[in-house]
Amino acid sequence: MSQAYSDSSFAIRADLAAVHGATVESFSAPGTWFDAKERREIVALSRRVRAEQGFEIQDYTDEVQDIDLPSGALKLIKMVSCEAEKIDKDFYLELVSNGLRPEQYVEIVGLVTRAVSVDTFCRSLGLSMYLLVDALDGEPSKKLPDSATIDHAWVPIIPAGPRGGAPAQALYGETEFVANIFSALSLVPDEASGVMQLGQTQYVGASDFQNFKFFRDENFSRAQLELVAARISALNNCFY
Amino acid sequence: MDTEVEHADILLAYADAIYASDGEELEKTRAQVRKRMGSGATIEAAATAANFSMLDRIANAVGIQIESMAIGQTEDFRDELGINDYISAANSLGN
Repeated sequence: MSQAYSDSSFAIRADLAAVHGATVESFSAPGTWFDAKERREIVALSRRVRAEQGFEIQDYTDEVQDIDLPSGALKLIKMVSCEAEKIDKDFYLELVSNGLRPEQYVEIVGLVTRAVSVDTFCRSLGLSMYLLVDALDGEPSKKLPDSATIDHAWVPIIPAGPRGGAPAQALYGETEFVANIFSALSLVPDEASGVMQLGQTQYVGASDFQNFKFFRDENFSRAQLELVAARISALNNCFY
Repeated sequence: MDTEVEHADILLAYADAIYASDGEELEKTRAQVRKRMGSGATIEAAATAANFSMLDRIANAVGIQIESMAIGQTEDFRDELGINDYISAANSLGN
C-alpha cells in the first residue's frame, strides 16, 4: 500500500484507512472486463482530466502510461470525472452504439467514482493523493451476472430478492430490498461491492441507515452528516 | 439559510470549498471546522463529502431512478429548490 495516513495530523479511523487502501489496490488488480494495466490507466486518466480541468488533487502526480482503451472510454472518463451532472441517456446510448459494452461502461464508472471519492477525502483533509501501485498480472474474469436486467437504470442491474437469483444473493445477501444506488453498478458485482464498502465506511452502514441518532464522532451528528451530504449532492445536481 | 443544524454555516462553507477548486478557501474552512467541532468531526465531514462525490456521479452516470416511495415524500420541496430542473431528474420523473 502506498499510503496509510500514518503521517497525517488527523487520526484517521483504521477502517477508513483500510478501505481506502484496499480501494486503491483494486485499481491495479485485474477486474471483470479490464485487466490491471487498463484499470490503472482509467484511474490515472481520470486524475489527469480532473487536474487539467482545474479540479485540485493534492500533490498531483501524472501516472498515465498511454495504454489503449476501448472506443469511448476516454469520453466517459472525462464526463464522469468532471461533468457527470450533464450525462443523459442519449450519452450512454451513443457510447454503447459506438462499441463500448454496457459492462465496460459500468466498470469505468465504478473505477472513476471510487477514485474521485478517495481523492476527495485526501484533498478535503490536506493529505497527499494515493500513488497507484504497479499493475498486477492476470486476466479479467469476464463474468456477466445472468440475472442482470434493465430495471431502474439505463444499465442492466441485478434485482434484489428472488428475481436476482444467485448473483443477488452473492452481492446483497438475503435481503429483498437494496437501495437503488447500491445496485447501480451490479452489472459488475466487484465494482458494486467496492462502492458498498466505501459507502458503509464513509457514510452509514445499512444496519444504521434508519438510526437518526447514529454518529461516528460525538461532535458530528447524523443531522450534520446529512447536511454535508445534501449540500454536495445539490452542488453535483444529483436528483437521486 | 436557517437549517437549525448546529455549525451549519461552517459545514456548508467546508462542503462548498471541497466541491470547488479553491485551495485557500478549503484550508480556511477546514481549519474553522476543526477549531469549532474538532478533528474527528472534520474527518467525518470529509468522509461524507467523499462518499457523495462518488454516489452522485454514479447516480448521474447510470441513470438511476429514485425509489418510488421517495417521489411523493419529496414533491413539496423539489420544485422550490430547483431539483426538478436537474438533468438527472428525467431518470425518475420521465420529463
